[in-house]
Amino acid sequence: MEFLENILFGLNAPNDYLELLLQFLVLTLLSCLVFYIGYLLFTKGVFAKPKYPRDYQLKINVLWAIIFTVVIFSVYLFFLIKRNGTDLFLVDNVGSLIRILPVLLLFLTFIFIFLNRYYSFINALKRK
Amino acid sequence: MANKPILFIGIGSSGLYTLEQLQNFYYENTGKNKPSWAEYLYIETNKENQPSITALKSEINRVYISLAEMETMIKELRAEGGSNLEWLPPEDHVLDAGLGAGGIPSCGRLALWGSNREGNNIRNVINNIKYIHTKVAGPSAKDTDGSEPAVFITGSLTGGTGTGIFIDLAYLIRSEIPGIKEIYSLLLTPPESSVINGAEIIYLNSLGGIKALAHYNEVANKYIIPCSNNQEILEPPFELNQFISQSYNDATPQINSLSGLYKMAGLYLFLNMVGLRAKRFERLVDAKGNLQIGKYGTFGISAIQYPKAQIQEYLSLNLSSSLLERWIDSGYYFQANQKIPIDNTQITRSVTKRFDEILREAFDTLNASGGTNLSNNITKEAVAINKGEKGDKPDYLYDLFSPANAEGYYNFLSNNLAIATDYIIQEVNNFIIQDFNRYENLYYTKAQLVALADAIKRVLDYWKNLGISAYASKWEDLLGKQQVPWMLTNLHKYIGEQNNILRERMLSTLDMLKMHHFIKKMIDLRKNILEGEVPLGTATLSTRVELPTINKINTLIKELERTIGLRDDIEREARFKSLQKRKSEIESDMNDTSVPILRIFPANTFENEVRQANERYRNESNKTFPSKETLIGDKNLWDYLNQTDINMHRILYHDCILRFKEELDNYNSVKDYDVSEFVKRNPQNAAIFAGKARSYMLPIRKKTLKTSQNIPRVVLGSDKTVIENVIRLLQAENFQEFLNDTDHIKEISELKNLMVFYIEQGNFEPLEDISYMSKIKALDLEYPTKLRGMTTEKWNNFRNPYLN
Repeated sequence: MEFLENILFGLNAPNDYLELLLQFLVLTLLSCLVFYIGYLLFTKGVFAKPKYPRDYQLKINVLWAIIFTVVIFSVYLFFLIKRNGTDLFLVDNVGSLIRILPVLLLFLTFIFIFLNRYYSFINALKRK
Repeated sequence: MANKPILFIGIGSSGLYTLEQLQNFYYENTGKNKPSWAEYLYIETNKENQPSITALKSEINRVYISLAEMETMIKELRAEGGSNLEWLPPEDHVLDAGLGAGGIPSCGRLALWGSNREGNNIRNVINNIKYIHTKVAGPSAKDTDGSEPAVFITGSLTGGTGTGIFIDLAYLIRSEIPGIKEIYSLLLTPPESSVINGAEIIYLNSLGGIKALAHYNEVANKYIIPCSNNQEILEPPFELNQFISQSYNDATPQINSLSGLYKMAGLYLFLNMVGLRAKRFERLVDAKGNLQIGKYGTFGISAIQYPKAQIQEYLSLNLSSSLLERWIDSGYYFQANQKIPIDNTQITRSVTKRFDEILREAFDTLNASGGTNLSNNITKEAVAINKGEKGDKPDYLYDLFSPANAEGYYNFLSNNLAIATDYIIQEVNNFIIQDFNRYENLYYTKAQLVALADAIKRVLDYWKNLGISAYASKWEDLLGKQQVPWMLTNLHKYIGEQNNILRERMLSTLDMLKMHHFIKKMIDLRKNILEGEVPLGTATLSTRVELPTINKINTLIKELERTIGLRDDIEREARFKSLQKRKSEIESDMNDTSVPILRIFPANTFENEVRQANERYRNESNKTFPSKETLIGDKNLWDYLNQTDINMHRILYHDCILRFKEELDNYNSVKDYDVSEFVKRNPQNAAIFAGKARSYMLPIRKKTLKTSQNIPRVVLGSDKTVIENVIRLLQAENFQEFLNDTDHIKEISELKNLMVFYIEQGNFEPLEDISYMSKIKALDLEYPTKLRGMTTEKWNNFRNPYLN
């Protein structure tokens, strides 16, 4: 637990790149887990009897699952900032920015994936 | 009440028109076409002539005596032999008489006695006379006094049919029904005219007819029944012959048109039917006994009328037109008492939506049959396929949807297709007809059908885009190359959705298979809606339901336009009477001042009367616009129009006028008006009009006819007190023709809103006293000599069949 707490909330020294990589991998793994749980929740629970063809509903469920993951991630960010203060985001403090880089990278990745899936879904609808 | 039964027999076109007027007068005064104790019969050589329609179904029985194959008819009559056939024209003399007796009396007479492939004319006539006789004098006769009927024969002495058969007909009745004694004639003769060039035949036919009549009125001249064993009848054909024409004996302007003359003849017969005959009979018995009248008579007649029936009928016609116009309004329809423009975009939207629903439901009906439910079956199949229980997945799936597999889905759907197609027809029929009943507008329905055809086209185009075709080979191609690989690709097994996904994809493929099956049916449906002459109908339902088509709608619109009178072609066909035509007839009747019937209007004009009645109707009924409710209540309008398909025009015409008249009656929209009120207010005017009865309807110029107290003159109305009051008022204006005693008054309950002044005349010899007779006699000698190929023998043969 201490390891996880350290990885998730303890901010390492900027030159400890191995630690940063590990942090990134753990966060990605956890995010994927949250995403899958969300996807499962929407597919088997909320939209178990879909209005639309199931192929489409699954695509929509992906979008919902990303939103769900981002929400959970935002909660995580809230606690991260609460523990470490807002100095992390000061542009002139390069060391702090590097330390928060895996978190930011993951967050942006979620947004990118969401937009990508969204537009691909829209295009698929248009093709039909 | 016991009445003397009466038979009215019309001969030729004039006879028909007179009977129509008689029927019309009875209808105007009683709301019925005839009483139970009277019958109408009409004998005609013109196949095209039919009794025209009135608000009620015509009660005029028709006998058509065919003149086809005249030469054969003559030959056969000669071959049969028997007495009195000398009048038959030589075979080579007869010409093709066209639509009637060709104006030739001997052809008319031939038509009565002859027979051809169209029937045995004389037998037909006898049977029909016996038939109407049984109706009024048989055991089932109603309201009669049990006596033998009086017979009135009417027709003109100007054409071939009337002049040819009127004497035979009287004798035929005497020989076939010996009990009948009272046979009267009402004969229409030509008017006095300074110029008769071009109309010589008409006058010469009259001369021939009157000569024949004079011949048989001589007791010494026996009538021998043609084709009989020299069977003779001694008595004259008629008890009394009444002659009338458009011309009067004095300076009174002649009646403008023949229809005016038919109207007066019809009025005379109507009055005789409802009581004048009995009144006249009382006097004429004495007049005959005292030799005060002779065999020939005529009469003067005038009337004062509040035309309630015409106002009511005219308003009914207006309302009927409005109703039918509502049904064929191309721009607007009614919804919740609002007039709304027909919006094609909105119609397309709603029809497309409804059609999509119907199609979906039709697809669903294909799923279940004979205890099998495809949806459930596919669920099980998907699970089994995913578990690998069905062997090679692509092959198994292909086989499931392939036409080659007799147990597969392809053939299952093919067998159920008729049920699904019927479902579509039924549902389309339901929603189109439902809307038609709601909005009562055929153009709205037509727009719906066009939108429906477009919706089908859009669906077909969509299916085409999906690569679906009606050919089985193309389906197999699509199945193998596209559907089977798609069904098995990316089943989302990682999330446990493989069964659901496969099931859905199989259902989707099943839908495509349904589309493949439906393509031909949909094309047929669309084609039938747009162009079908014979509507597609359901085959699997217990009651056949037909698909509404645009052709059907167009036919209905056309028929409704015909009924209203918006199409010219209707007027060419005499048997159709349009609402407009009837309105024009009433208008011209109301404006005809040459007929001695004074129309009185408390609101000053006919138009005002109609307008006031219309306002009363609208106020009382609270109906701002007419609807089918008046005509058929809650019943289905589409069914009604289709039920009346064959005779739509006639049935609609009758139903509309009758139902609206009933409504006008119920709301008392046209009030009664007492004629004596008018006389009280306008005594001078009334006296002038009553005085018109002194002028009789025959041009006898050089002689003043002898009057006698035994020759009838009478005022007829519905209330004795009112008549007495009117006579007093007239006497106060120095009009002394009618005395206030029972001899001059006849109370007839049927004469509502009508008072008639009738003065009969007699004691003349038509061959001597009708003003133009001397001229016509000279013409009779001179005219044949001017005709190429005409001999005296041939001329007499053609014109005087009774005197040969």
